[in-house]
Amino acid sequence: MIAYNKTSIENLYHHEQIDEATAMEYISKEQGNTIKDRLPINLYTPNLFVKIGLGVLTYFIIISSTGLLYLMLSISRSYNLFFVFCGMVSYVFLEIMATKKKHYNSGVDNVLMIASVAFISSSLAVDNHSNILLSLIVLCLSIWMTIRFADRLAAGSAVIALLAFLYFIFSRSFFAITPFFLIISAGIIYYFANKTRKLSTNFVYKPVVKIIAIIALLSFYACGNYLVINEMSNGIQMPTYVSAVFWLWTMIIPILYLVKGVINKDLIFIRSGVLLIAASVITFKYYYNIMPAEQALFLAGIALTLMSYILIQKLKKARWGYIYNEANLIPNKYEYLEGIIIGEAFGHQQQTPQPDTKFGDGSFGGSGAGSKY
Amino acid sequence: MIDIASFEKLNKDDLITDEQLTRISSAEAVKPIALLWELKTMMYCGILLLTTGLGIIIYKNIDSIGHLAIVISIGIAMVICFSYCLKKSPPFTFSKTTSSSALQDYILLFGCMLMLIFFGYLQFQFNLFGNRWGMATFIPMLILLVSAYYFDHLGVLSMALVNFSAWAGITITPLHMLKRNDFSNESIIYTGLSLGVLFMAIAYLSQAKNIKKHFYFTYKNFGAHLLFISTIAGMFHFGNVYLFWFLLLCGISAVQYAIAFKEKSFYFLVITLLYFYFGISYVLMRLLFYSTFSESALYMAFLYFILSGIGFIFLLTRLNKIIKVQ
Repeated sequence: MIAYNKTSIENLYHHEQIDEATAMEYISKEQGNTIKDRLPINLYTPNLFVKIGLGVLTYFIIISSTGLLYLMLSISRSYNLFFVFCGMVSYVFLEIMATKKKHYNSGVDNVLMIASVAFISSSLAVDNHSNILLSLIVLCLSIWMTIRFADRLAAGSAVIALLAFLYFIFSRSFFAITPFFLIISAGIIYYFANKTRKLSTNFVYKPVVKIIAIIALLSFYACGNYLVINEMSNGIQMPTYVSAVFWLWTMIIPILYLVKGVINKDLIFIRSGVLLIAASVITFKYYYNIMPAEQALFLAGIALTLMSYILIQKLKKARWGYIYNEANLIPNKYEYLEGIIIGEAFGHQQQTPQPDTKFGDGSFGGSGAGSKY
Repeated sequence: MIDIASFEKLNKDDLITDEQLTRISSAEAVKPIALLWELKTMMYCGILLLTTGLGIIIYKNIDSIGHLAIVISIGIAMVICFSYCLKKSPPFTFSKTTSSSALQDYILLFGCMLMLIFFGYLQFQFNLFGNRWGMATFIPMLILLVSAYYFDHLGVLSMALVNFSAWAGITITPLHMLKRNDFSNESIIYTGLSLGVLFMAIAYLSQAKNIKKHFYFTYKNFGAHLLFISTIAGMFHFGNVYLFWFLLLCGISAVQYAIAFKEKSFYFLVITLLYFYFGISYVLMRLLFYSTFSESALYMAFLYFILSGIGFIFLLTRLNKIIKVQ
């Protein structure tokens, strides 16, 4: 089923594991390299920046090819057929790049994949507004892409499309219990994905299954979030006790995630818990304005800073099974990026209007420092 | 995250020994979980929220709190941050310091932000520098620059460069570079070019003279983007001599390309190729649509983009392989 050489993808997974093991000093660097040499990878996966460059170029090519085709065929109607055709051509190219050129997450295959799903599904949106059909098509295409190319984005979109499909089907006749139905569905998806992730030795689809589990976990919360429910109910007033249930859900689930994560030492639950607490606070703030936004920002900022400060201090030595250890930090490639982001976020805090400063005319500053320019 | 199943498979294929497998699985069972990035991100978000909220609160309550009280409290907080860093930081060296902690980095960052607010406030309210607007940006920039070098902080260096450019009259943060600058203004184009050259020169010097070698990337990154964007803006603006600006772009691209290739830097290789592609496409489009708009020209344009796109993809793929092999 998979478009790539199965062993190559498996070896890719093992390589990542060996890198982690060498970083933890479980195995020596030399041994790690010897093992890697014996597990060859016959795939083309370039550096991150090359990936972005290839993706941008592929995007240009797709746009201009569509434009050229449109001009040549001088289409005035049946746009949907045209879009389906474009989607199929993109898919054919995707197959060629994957099977012949061995492109795996190279930027080219990712963009082609998105293009083919987007073209085919948007062909339906041209004149037919059936949400059920649209979500079904996206679901089928995503599942196929997931199986065929072991792609994580496709896997995530499959989960969301499935939930959307269930929502559109179910909300027609059983509007009142749709949220519960969706919550249960997300829970079932999570349960099976998580179980597969832990037991499976199929290294080809393991990363994909992990993404499915994470998305299902987040959807489990989102399907009961008060803001989501309220937006989905199209202005229909909920009885008080029902809204109380959803408020309870919004407030309790993130905390449960966090507690479960901390107890089981599960980073996925810890990260989702913290993220969803923020989401719940924003949800609450949306409906109840107990203080102005800036005071909320200020207090949240103090709370976060203090909390992280205390935790960093406490966890300098391993405690409760956790550690904050900078010495163990693997020198990271994105250190420079961190600096740029800081410059972006904090750099132009203060830019006083400068009516007529010009570089080179030396009109500013009386001191020696400024007159150099 | 370590997946034991993977090592069991490796063990089965006789790539690791049984002892190693038991060692890995027993070590993994008791290993404390590292919460490094989680806590760092939390700290970062906290400081961002804190300073944003503080800024708005001050702005809204200026009438009731009183300017002097605000300025004094910001000043005290700023002094506390800087003195904490001074006390904790290792002695100054021209090479990379290794012993500073993430916590200290963030406190320095917080202090620097307070410093920017402090000077901005003094200028806005008390007119500290009078009408010499340049000084109001120049002095904080100087403090940022000194702090960046003294405490060895890449983020503060970025802030300093952003403020330096603001002082020269140009915005260089990535997300605002194109939005906030009026590139149809000639002086901005020249300013951008000169700043780009200056940053590139400092980048080169810091590496050659071994003065904070690891600042090289930050200087070069700002410098390269400024040079490329300014020359492309020059092509747009100076319509009748655009070929001259195109030649300049070619020259800069050639130099950047050679450096990137020598340093095996994928990042600079890709941005050089993309800016160059943009420039050459602009020139060709101008030639195509020079006289009148015709349908055949449109066909040509589409064909050009398809073929050149494929060509550049092949080029990038090849270069990636060549650099990897070297």
